[in-house]
Amino acid sequence: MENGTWNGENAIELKHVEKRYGDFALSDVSFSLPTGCVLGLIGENGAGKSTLIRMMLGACRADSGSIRVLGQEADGGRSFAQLRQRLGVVLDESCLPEELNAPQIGRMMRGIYRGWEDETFAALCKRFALPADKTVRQYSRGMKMKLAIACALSHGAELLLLDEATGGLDPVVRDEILDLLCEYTRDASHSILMSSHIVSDLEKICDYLVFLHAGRVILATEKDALDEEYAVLTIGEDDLRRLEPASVLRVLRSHGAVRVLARRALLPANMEAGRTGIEDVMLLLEKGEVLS
Amino acid sequence: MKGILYKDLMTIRKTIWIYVALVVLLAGFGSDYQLMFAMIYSLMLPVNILAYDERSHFERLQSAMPVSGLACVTDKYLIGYASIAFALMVALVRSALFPGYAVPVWLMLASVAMALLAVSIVLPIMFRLGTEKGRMVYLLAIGVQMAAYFVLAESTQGMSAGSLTGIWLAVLAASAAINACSVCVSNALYTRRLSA
Repeated sequence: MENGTWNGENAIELKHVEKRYGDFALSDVSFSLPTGCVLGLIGENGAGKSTLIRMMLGACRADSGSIRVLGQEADGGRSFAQLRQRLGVVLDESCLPEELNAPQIGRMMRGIYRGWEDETFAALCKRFALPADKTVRQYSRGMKMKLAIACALSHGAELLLLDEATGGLDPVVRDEILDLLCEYTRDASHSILMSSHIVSDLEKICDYLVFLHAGRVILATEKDALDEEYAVLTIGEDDLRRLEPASVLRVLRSHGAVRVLARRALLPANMEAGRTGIEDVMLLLEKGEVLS
Repeated sequence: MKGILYKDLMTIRKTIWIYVALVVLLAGFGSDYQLMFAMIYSLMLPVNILAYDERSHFERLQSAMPVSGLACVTDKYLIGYASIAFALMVALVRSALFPGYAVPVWLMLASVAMALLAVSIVLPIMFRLGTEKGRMVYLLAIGVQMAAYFVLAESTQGMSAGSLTGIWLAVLAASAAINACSVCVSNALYTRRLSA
């Protein structure tokens, strides 16, 4: 699949990935991103999101397990380096050379990506109103990220990897970027993996969610199924005792109340739960305790 | 590598004129020995590029691009060699235009050899440690080289120009070989630093 478009089932496959860095470890991480879909990778700072993305890029190797990107093992070897022609990457900072302006960045990218599209890049720069006569150093943070996204979308990438790319941006800019990403995914062969803390961004665009905590995947689900399968309840200790232990994933006690993340199907019939949001789930998965 | 080379040249497009002026002054109008300073300044350009890259964290983006570490390393060496070649060209033009102030051939060979040695020692250190931590080693390496040159110059005093040319030709050949090894070492160190 070196020169053709990837039509396989999964754009990204991680199986039992392990990586140790000093006192931090990624343990038994497994999930897949189906082709044509958007996966949100959620976790607290230091959960391992950026490390996972670096491993998917072949920038560092897993200690064990398998990572396949567009059908190829992400081993960082020569053939994988060529696979990066088909990947678009946006990091949490633009990392673009600060002494160059937008047209010069475009010329640099033309010399790096075989599929570079000058017209697409120019159109995106115009859409984002990026001044051509200013260097990257003179850009605001929002402008730098827009430029980075324009670069990622201008070489025919089949898979976008976004590592907290919308963090620190104002809502207007984030909305523009998310609209662009929605347009990108209208092509069924285009996939996106994005790590983010901004729950509203994930709710707007993601099809799948993977919750990462302290190097482990603690929940992987379809976004739409989150509300169908899980419920967040705020109850008292008496009501907590009425719940089947098997239904309770996490418990968080705070200010005399008990917040519970539970499986909706196992709740008692007379116990109602409202809509389940990503932020509630994230908070309970990270700060809640397992019921003993 | 084309894109990275373009990026590097555009990054230093403003500061390169300072280097050009310095080289023209030292190699074109300075004393014979100032040619050596001019050539060792050739390190300034690749080290400046590395410093700019570090400031923008470009290596994070580069590790996600279809660009090999070897391409990124090699082009810094090429810029260093081009700078040395420019200084040599200025010295040659000076010698051709003003035969009375011509730089001896053996001194040109010595200058190129010492500059190549400077490149081969300093760049791997910069790739491994970065420009901030590597700065002191950079200055130390240049100081040691200059000292080594003067010791060698003292010990070969009185020798004929032909003999000196032969000696420095041999040193030049050795420094070229050392540079080839240096590129491999830089690539290994840089790749290891990026994957850390």
